[in-house]
Amino acid sequence: MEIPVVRNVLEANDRIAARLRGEFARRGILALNLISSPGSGKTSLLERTLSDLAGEFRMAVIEGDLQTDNDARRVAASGAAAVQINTDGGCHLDSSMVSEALLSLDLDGLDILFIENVGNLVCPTEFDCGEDAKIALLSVTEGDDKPEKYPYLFHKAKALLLNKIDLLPYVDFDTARARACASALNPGLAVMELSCRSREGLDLWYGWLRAAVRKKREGGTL
Amino acid sequence: MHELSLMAGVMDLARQELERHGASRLTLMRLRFGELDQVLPDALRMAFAAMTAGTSWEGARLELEEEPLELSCPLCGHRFRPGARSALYAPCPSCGETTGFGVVRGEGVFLDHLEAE
Repeated sequence: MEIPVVRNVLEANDRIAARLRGEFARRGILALNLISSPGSGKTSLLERTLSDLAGEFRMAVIEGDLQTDNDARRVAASGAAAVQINTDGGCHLDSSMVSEALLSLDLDGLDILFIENVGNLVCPTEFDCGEDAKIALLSVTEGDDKPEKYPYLFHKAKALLLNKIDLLPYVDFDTARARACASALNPGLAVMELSCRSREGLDLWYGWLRAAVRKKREGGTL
Repeated sequence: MHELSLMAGVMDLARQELERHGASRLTLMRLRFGELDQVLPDALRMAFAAMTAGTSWEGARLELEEEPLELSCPLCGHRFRPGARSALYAPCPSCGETTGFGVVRGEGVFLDHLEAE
């Protein structure tokens, strides 16, 4: 028997993601999916952001890692609510994991939900978690050719944060090249250079966040 | 590495479709994935073999088709296939525009066709 099908393999994931997106829209919560290689500084960025903007926004974090709750404990030290998901070897978060994690968070009055994905430049890009935007992080120790090598993330992201710029004098990272390649893939991409360690450039990121929260509250899309 | 999760989704869809058509044993499955999706065919095959092993679906054939990328130029609307992945950055062959191409085809993973008894 022949059965013609043509069904999107990710339809189950996308259905849950659409439900989450509706819930975030109804509550005016800005949801951001942070994606990068392991060690690019996602957790450091969250630590800075959660403590620097604590007086301004109510924020919560979903942390995705293969093992341990180290990251959830790190970001919870800022006072923000944090839930850890352990994927036990899984290379990405999907919408059902996020949906499950949301049950442990109080969403009332929440302004921003950060979803820190599993460190991986490939797989997390494929799975919609209901976010308003994917945020790509790339640290200058990783090499400026990453947007060329892993184009899909940079094609899909709404913002690219070039982290660890305090190390630029010590590495051969051509900021202009990384910017040019990423912008060619995605002309609307906001590119910000910063260092979580020296705090340089963090204001650019905070400015982007404030504008995004405002847009979300007004019912717009990023 | 996400091929295992993708295949788990595929198996769910296939089970639904077979049940709907009153069939029980899968003999052939055809999947299509976009060039942009970073899917490794060998990893899909391994996942399929692992998930069908020891079941009535063991030995079913898996056909994979990679859908080439087709882009559209934001300026002149010309549709073209870049020769290589890095050609995402290449200029539009018609007007020379270098950025902002839309993806017409070559994105997404689809279950296209099943054969069963």
